[in-house]
Amino acid sequence: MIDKLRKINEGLLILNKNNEQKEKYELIKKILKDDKCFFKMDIETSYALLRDLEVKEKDLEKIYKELIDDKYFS
Amino acid sequence: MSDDNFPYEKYNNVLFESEEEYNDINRSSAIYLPGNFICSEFINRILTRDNYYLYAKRFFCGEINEFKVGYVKNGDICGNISYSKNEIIRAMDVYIKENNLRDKEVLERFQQLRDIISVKTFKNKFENTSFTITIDNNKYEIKVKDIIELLSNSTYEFESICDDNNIKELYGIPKNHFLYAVKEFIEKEQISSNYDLTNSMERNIKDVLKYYYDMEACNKYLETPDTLYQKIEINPDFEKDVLKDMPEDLSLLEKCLYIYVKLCTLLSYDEEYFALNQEGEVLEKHKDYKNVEKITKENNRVTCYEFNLLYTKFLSKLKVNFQSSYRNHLDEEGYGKAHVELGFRVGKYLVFADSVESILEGDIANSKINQRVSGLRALNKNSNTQEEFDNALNKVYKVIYKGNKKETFDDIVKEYQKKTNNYHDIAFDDKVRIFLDKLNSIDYQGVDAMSYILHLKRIIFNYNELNFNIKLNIICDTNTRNNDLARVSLIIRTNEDDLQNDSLTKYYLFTPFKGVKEITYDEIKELFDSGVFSYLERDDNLIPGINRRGAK
Repeated sequence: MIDKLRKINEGLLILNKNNEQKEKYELIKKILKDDKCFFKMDIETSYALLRDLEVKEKDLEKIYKELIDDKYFS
Repeated sequence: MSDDNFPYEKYNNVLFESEEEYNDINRSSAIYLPGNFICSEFINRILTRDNYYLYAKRFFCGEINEFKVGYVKNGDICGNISYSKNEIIRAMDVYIKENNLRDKEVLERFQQLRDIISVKTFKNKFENTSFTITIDNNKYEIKVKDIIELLSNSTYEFESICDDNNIKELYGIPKNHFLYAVKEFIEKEQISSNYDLTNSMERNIKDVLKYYYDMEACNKYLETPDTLYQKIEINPDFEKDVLKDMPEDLSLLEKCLYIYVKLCTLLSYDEEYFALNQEGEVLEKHKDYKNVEKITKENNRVTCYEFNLLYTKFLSKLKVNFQSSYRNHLDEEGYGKAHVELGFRVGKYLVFADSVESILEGDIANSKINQRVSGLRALNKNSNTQEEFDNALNKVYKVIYKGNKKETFDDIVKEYQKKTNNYHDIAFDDKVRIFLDKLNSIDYQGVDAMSYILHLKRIIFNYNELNFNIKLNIICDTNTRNNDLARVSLIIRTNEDDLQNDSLTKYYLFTPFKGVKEITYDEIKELFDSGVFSYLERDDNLIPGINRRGAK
C-alpha cells in the first residue's frame, strides 16, 4: 500500500513541479521514505497526507486502517 | 478550672452535644475557605457560648491537641467536627464580616484567639530557637530566625531568591538543603495549621516551597537497599553491546539514560512477562533471577523484572544508588511475582522508572522505531530541572540514533503540517470506531499485541482525549488461560464528554484472539470482585469504584 502512495506522490510531484505545491509533495516524499511513517504521525496528519495524495474522503478510513495494520508494526 | 467545666478531658478532648445539636452544627451553612468548608454554627458557638470559647482557647494555647465536637450514640462516640487553628480564625474573620457582627464581646473573643496564633506569637516563640536536621548525611543546626527571615520576604523576592541559580547558598548552607530544612521545619511544627500567617508567608510556604524547588532528591537513596543485583553477572558480550558506543564524556545522568534507552533497543519482550500469578514451568523459569545471566543480543527476551534487574546492575557499576519496589511485596521476595518500580538518584535528579510503563507502554517497541521512551522520568517539580532532564534525554537519543534521525522525521512532519490545507479534526466517535476495528483485526499474540494497541492509542487520540475521553486498563484475565499462562486483556473506557461523568462512559473488553465486545460496568465489577480480573498497572489509572485485587 505504501508503495502505491509513493508512486502517486511521484506523479503529483511532476504535475506540481512549477508551482508552490511542489515543496509540500517533496516533504511528503521524505515522509513516505520511512516504511513506518504512519505509526509516527497522529491520525489527523496521516489523513491530511492521504487527502493531499487525492485519496477520496470516503476511502480515507479504509486506507488508513490498512496502513496501520499490525503486520507493519514490528 | 474544674473537670465539670471541661468534661472533654475524660473523653479524648471531644465536646459532646446531643445528636440533634450535632446535626444542627453539621448542617449549618458553610463558610468557604480554599480547601475546606467550615460549619458556620461551629464558629458562631465559639464566639457566643462560653464553653465553646474556652475549649477553643485551650486548643489555641496548645493545652489540648484538637478541638472536636461529637455525640454519643449507643455507647459509641460518633461524629467529628474539627478544624485547624488557622481554619477557625480565617472562618471567624469571614463570618464576622459577612454577618456584620459588632458585639464587643464577640470581637474581643475573636481578637484574643487571633493574638494567640499571630505572626508575632510565632516569631516570639521560635526566633531564638534552632532546628537540627540531617540532609544527605550532613548535619545542620539552623537558626529558626533565618527561616523566619526568609519566609518574611514578599513572594516576588522569595521566588527570585529561589530561582536565581547564582545564589548557591542561604545562610551558609547549600540552597536546596536550606529550603529542604525550611519545608521540614514547617511540617514538623505544623506552622500553616497552627498560626495565622501573613498572606505572603502563606503563599511562600504553600505555593512556592511546595512546587518550585529541588527538594525531592534530598535524603533520598543515600544507599542501595537492593541485594539481588549483587548476585548476578551480566553476560560480558551483552555488557559490551550495551556500553561499546557510549561516549566517555556523557554526564552521570546521561550515562544512566543512555543505558536505559540502549537496553530498550537491544531487548525484546518475553510474552511470559505476563507470567504473574501463573503456574508451572513458566513461573519457575522467571522466578530464577539467574536467568538474566543468559541474556544476550541474540537471546534477548526479558520480563519486566528481568529488565529491571539488568538495569540496576548497570546502575550499580556507575555507583548510583537505587531501590526497586515490588508491588504488594515488602522487598525483593517479590521478584518474579510482581511488577517492579525503580527509583534512583543522580545528584539533584530523582528518577523514576516504571517497568509496566517501560514495557506495556512500549518503550522497548518505541525505541526500535526511534520514538521517545515514556517509562523513565524525573520526579523533580522544578520546571528548569525537568527541562534539563529532557535535554539530557534528547542528547542521548542523538547519540544512540546517530545524527538526529528521529528529530529529522519530526521536523519534516512539522514542516509538512505548515504546508498542507488538509489537516482537519476527526470526530472522537470516528476515532473510537477506527481504534476498536483495529483491535478486532489483530493477528498478534501476547505482549506484542499490547505494544501495538498502546501505540495505536497514542497516534489516534490526542493529548486531551487521552486525558479526558479514553483510558485503557490492562488486566490479568484468568478466564483466558492458555496452558499455564493467564492472558492479558484490556478494558477500554470511552466518554465523548468526560470520563469523570460516569453515566455516559462506555466500556469495552478486548481479549486476545477474541477481539472487542461491549461490557457493562457491573459486569466488570463482578469479574474483579470474583478474582477473574486483576489490575496489571499503576494505581492512578484504576477504574473508579473498582479497587486493586489480586487474581485467584
